[in-house]
Amino acid sequence: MIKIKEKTFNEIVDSIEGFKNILVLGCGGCASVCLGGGQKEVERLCVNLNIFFKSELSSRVAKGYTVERQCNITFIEETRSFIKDFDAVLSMACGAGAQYMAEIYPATPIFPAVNTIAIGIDREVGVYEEKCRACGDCVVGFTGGVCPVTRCAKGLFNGPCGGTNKGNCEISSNIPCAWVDIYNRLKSQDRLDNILKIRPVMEWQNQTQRTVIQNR
Amino acid sequence: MTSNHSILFEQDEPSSEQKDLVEISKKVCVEEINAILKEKKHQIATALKVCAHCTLCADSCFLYRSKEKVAEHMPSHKFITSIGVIYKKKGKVTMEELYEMRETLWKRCVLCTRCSCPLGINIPELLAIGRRILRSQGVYHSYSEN
Amino acid sequence: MSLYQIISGPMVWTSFLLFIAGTIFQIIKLYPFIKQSTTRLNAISYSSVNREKTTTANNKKIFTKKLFRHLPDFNSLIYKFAMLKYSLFGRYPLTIFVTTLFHLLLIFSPFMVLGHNILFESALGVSFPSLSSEFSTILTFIIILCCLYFLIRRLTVPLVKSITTSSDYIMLAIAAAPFLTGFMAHHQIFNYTVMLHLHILSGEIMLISIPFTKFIHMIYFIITRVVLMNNGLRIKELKI
Repeated sequence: MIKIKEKTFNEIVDSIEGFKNILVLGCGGCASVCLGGGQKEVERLCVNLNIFFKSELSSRVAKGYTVERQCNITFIEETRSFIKDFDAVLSMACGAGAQYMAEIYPATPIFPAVNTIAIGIDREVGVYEEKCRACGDCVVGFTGGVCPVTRCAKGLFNGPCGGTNKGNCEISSNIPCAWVDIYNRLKSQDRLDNILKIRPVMEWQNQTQRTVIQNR
Repeated sequence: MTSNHSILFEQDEPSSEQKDLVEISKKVCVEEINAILKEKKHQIATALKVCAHCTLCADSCFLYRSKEKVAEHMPSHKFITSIGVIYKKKGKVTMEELYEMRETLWKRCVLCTRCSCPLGINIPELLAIGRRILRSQGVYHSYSEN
Repeated sequence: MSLYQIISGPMVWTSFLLFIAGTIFQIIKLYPFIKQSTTRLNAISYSSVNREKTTTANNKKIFTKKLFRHLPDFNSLIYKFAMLKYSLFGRYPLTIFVTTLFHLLLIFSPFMVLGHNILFESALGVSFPSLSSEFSTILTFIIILCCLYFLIRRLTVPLVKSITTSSDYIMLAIAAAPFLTGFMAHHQIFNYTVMLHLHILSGEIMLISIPFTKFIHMIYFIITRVVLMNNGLRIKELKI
């Protein structure tokens, strides 16, 4: 799922400078799963903000609310009745959720309280690892289940570069080389011929906004 | 403050400490629940009336199909035992009941919105209302628990 | 006035009136909700750029060893027939068949019975094409069998049992009663007069209970399924 990380408190406070009533809007989807923007985190941020506002001796106030998902109109809609009472919204959803909020309520300024980091997996509670960059053209089937776009610092599609450093990346000896992993995985599966196939360069679809339409 | 705001929680002092211990002894705010119930009255009442208990929605739930095929994973069972109970009791539910519903609403449903009812009931929206009511009482699934 | 005159005269008109008034009342009651839902769903109109063009995956053919592959024709009848098992009908063939048959017969067969049509003719001056006595008997028998199927399903299938309440049995009884009594009256199985009285009475009870009990799905079905569901984001097909 999508992994997010809360921005620093300073940055959040800076962004909502001058707005009186703040709505901290959490998301019960991926943001909640990665402990980044669920109801618990919303409550915590509200407490912190209100303590800060009090220390500032201002009458500003932050209130929290959590919708199930900020990427679906059905769940955002329940905020419509009270959104007008707030001067700004601090969205704790991923970038998609924050943008959709902004699209649905064009009159209300939306500020992200989190940084959207990656599409990743859960190593353990609170530890998440990026696994996918959503490039839109999956090659994992031919690289033994290791994504070269995510794992390789250069995003190389065809074999390792010359900088492979005893199984590690040339930019840091702490980063394992993706292509060494790919080679080992393919070798153990006896599929090494896959590595010889030249794949044409990625048509970086990230450059236009992508829309998914499932045929069903 | 208008009635809509009763669903917003406002916290001035840190109260999240020892929350788990406090939670179960906390009182349910019936007015808050009723405010949400009133807003969504038509939808819940219509769904409960229309549902003919035909159980044809069962196979549209991927949890029902992939996990044990028990009634608890059937979409109609989920909304009848959660939001249906809250609606029939007019919000007068205990915290224990809400914690039982939390299991249904979060662990047995991911709100993938793919379940289909032959009579056209929008089951995920009902479950979302249920989650909203539980959230308003501070009952929600914590992903850091296990 | 005798009992027969009461239940076959003013009672019939009362029940018809209650049925129509109740239906109109329920629709009016739901109207704000319908309007709210449809306006909300209409508000979701994202910019109509030709989005599909931006999604096409690049057609790299380098992995395709064979140039011509035998792909299934996704529009063919055979393919659609094969996909049928993933539909609601494919999942529960017997239940869907019985349910469809039951509902169709429940609504249309009362208009096709000769006795009813004579009453229609004398009361309103209109009548519908009547079926032969034998054929109506078969149809009635099928409805009773369908009701039995539902009853057995409710009593035995654990899934259905889990959400069954007493109202479900009452509903089933109310739905089955007019057909059962009509069947018995026609064949004079028990006492004809008693059965006829029960037949008229149960029919009236059913008619009155349509807008006020769970039978309301007869009216709301059209609203929830056609008006609300086809208007929004929900997947329209009932493919599972």
